[in-house]
Amino acid sequence: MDYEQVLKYAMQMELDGSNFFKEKAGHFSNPTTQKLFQDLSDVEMEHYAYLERQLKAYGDNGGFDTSGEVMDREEDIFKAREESEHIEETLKESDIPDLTILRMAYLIERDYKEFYERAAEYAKDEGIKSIFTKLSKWEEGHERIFKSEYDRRMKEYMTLPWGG
Amino acid sequence: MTNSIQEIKAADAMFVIGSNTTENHPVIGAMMKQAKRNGAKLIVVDPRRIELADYADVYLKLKPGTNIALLNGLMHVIIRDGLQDNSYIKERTENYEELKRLVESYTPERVGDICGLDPKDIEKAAHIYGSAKKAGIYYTMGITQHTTGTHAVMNISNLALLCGNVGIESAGVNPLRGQNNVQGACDMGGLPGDLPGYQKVHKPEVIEKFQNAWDRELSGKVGLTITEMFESIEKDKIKFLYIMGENPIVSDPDSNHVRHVLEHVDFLVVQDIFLSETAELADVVLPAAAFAEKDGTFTNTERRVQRVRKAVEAPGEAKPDWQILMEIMNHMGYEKQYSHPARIMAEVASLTPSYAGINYKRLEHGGLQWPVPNEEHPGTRFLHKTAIARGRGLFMPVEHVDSAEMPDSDYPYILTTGRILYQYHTMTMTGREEGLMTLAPSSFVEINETTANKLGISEGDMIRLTSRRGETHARARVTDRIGEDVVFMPFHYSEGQANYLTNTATDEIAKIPELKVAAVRIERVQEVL
Repeated sequence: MDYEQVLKYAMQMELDGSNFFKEKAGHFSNPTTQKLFQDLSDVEMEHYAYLERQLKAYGDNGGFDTSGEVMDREEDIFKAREESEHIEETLKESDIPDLTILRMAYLIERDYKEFYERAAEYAKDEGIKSIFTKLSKWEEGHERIFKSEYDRRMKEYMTLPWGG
Repeated sequence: MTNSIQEIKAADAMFVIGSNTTENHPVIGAMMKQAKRNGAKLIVVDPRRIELADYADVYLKLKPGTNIALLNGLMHVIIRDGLQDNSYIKERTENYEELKRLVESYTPERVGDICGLDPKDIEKAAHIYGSAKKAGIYYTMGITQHTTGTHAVMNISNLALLCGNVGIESAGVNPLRGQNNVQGACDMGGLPGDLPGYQKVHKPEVIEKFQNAWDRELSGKVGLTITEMFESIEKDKIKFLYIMGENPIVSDPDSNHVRHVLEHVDFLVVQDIFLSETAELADVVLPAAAFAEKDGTFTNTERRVQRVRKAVEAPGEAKPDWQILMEIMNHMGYEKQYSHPARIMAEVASLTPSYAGINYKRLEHGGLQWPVPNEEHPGTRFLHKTAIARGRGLFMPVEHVDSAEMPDSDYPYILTTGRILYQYHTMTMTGREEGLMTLAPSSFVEINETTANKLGISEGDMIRLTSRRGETHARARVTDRIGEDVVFMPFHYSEGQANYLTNTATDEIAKIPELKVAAVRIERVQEVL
């Protein structure tokens, strides 16, 4: 396993995320739901582009091996969160769908962070371990960003005149 | 309501707080009595010994303004005695530890002192609610009309989540709405921050959607609540006011101030079915058709959209509200025409995800409870079945704080207000009905025997109540229904009007005034001058 493999793996994760959110954007009629899913899809694509630039910066070392421990990808992180958070059902009942979605989004970033942490723990090669650790920190940063956006919107909603 | 009215009959326990259900929601009150006959336990919390208290397994006559403390006390006992639903908390909620930490200090003894209750009754209520498999909470303005109203609602949600009572049948968090279509009015955007279906006006993507549909530029600013509008009128920032089906001179706090504001505004339009006290001040009155004189829908407290069918012609120049609004809209240059309310419902469905599957054809076969996301969907009997809408139920721990105005040496008593069975709101309708006026002809003040004796007041005496805002007169009803140092008045009557006294202080979030707690002085008078 090498640095390139790890980066390609991470890129694939971001691409999966982007596709997942894009698919969801087309699935709901609430404009806030649609927009936020589309925004999240775009964010994941930005992450993808960032990793791609990193990969290019280090150059192609040749020989991309799809076998090995790191490629046992947790492809279903998005699906699993969608199911555990019952996103289809909850969004139909939510008056403030952006909070429902952002909560799921920061939990997904947390899942990634924890996944990379575990990968770093099990990696034998010190270089790979270091890359996984960096990716984990990177995802932790994304979790923080989504959580802080969640908190901002929560505060915004809490100042709206509810009731009737 | 998270749940449905019919589900009440199968509840194992009912927790009624700040709701005089049998007088204000008689149908629901009757179902509660049926549930009681079926073996359900009943907890009633109210500063007055209301009729439903006679059916209660435990009745808590708390001091007005202490709901949050009581709820914290109940949760303290439930956690202390291990009655919380641990698996539900783990799987479906967040922030439990914070709640646990906060309620730790709300011992039954401390809460008893704050609320004026026997700690044993608090324990008993907690055990009934905490032990029930399906327990519903039912509340109304006794919870919301406080400066802490929103926090009290959050605390009700905390209690329900703690015992796994959200997302199951015959349980839930159930505000009982005060008018037949207040739910529908809110659903259709009758709130300052919302367009239909609670789609938020400050979201550019929402505004864009409605602008595209209506082909007009729309404001993305959150509007004003009634209390904020009145402030703006006084500052000459609002010059035109259009009131539909409301009589704020009688229903809103500090009536003297409301009158001053309505007299101050440059141009006042009132649309109503009768010439109310507020309509008398209007520059233009638009006569509206009553419920039996028009077609349409009402959405009731259980989110059920129901057809209303015209039975008689409207008198004189009266027209249905939708038609008046359409004609004004047309006069102002927007030419869109609707031939029937069914056409309006089609537009509602096209723009409102929770109403997307509702149309008049389907409503012919009975009401539909939103959300109804498509035409095949049967409607939603109770919410949050699979999960809480946010993903997980969020515990929001809240501390008790005093009401905005507490009794002192100048105003030593607490006035609380409410409704009675035989009158409705400001009596614009019921006040014209001879039978009802015979049964409930005039305003009154319920006063505790001990307080009355202390003040030399006997049954039927005319008394004067004075607050920092104004004064009013009504006859005394001496009774042990109400606690010492607390008096009750119905708010319906324009003679002996309670809202001359009430406080305009509002809940910081919902902006609902604190109509349930005002400090007053009481004196016996010979006659009203």
